[in-house]
Amino acid sequence: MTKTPSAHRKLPRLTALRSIVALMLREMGSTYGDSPGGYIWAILQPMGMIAMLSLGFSLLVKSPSLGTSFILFYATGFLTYNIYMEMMKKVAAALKYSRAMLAYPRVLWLDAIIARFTLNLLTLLTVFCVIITIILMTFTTRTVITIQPIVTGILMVALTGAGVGMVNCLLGGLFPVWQIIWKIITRPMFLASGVLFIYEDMPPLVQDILWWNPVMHATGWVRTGFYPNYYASYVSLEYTFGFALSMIAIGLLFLQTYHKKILHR
Amino acid sequence: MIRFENLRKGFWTRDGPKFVARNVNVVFPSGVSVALLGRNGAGKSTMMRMISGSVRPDSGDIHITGSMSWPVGFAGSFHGDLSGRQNVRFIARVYAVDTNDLIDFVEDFSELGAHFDLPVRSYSSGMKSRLAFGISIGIPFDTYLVDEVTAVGDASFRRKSRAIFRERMRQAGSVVVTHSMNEVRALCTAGAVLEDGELTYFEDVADAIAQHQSNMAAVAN
Repeated sequence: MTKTPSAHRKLPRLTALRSIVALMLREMGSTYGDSPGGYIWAILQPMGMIAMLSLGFSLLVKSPSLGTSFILFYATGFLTYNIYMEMMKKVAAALKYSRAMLAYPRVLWLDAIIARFTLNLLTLLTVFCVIITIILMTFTTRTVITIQPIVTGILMVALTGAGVGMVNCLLGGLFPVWQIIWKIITRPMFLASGVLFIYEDMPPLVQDILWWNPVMHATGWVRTGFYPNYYASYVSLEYTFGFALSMIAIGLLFLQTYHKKILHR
Repeated sequence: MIRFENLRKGFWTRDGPKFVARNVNVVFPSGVSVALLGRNGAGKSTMMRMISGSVRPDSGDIHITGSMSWPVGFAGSFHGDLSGRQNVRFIARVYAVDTNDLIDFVEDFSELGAHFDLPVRSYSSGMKSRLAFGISIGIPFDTYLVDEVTAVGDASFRRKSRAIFRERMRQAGSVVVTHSMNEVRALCTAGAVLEDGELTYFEDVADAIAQHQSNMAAVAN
């Protein structure tokens, strides 16, 4: 019989950090680890979408709303929107995804959410940078990048995704019908987030409605960083960060009370 | 040491309220192997999960000194899509033990052979229990919570499990739930009987068994 593993008599420190890293490594192993090609799909999927959008719309309209490059215009819009969408879905499913792991008393529900947020933020950031770099190196876009609004825009959209995801995790977990309702009411999200157009293209009535969509602010702010002659003056950092942080606060507060009920369902 | 302080826990069932604990004040000393006895449905598993921290009491506290295992044998503690090896790796990371040491130990101990690298969802319940017992006993805890797992496998596996469990018990304590009184006598020195929300601790396991059997006889009549 082999020797039992060496005994540390002390309680291990940083237990939360250990759980979070273990959950992240496990998610990395199972999300892309099993499919042939692995992580390359995380980049190929949005790239395919951007290519299709650029191709399709270059046939329909003469030039994009900003600049001359279709591919850069749709990439800046879609990649920003994609961060919201992926983050929202992943965080909303975080408890269900790690349910088996949460059976260990040392792995807390919050670890599952933090692990999912962190890993997916890193993945989505990498995807964003890789695709933008490829585009800037391959096509003549004549863009001058201002980094600060891009970073702020990405942070804004990632936190919004996490906040909405947490609230959906709560509502969807408590009332399964919510998942269907949510799908229906957010069906136009892709169109309403400014992937295909800019806010200023819209008539005032539509602008008044779209202004409440935080993702609309994020796409505008990211594009402000890519197009030197464009400034999205409608963007309110107070509104978007206020919205995202309130959602996160609501999610944390109620999940603390209801996570067991959601997991045992 | 496990100290129960004014512990209360109850459920609503179709037949009205049911109590797992009504104002339990008991101390399990450190380094002692305690058998938790009680009839089916008395709440032994709920009690184990309260000790491990995965179920919250209605009121009162459970104070614990030292590190505590999860309830071994607790259903659903493996991720079905991951292999036995990947599950071990995950747990080793969470509980801060050397990943390779634990993998080597569990691979050898659980006798899963080629199944060790297949998804846990393909395992039989016996294989799962062997894996669960192997992982928990492979990690040095101060107190082990064991729920009906030492009774799995063939005779030689059981002998091996008992031997390694006793070796661990030289430096650690445990709370054991099992229906086999032979297991109780073999593994535990002390006992506690859970009956209708009352938990009574006996320093000698024989007294606990006697009390448990008289409770069971009272129901039979």
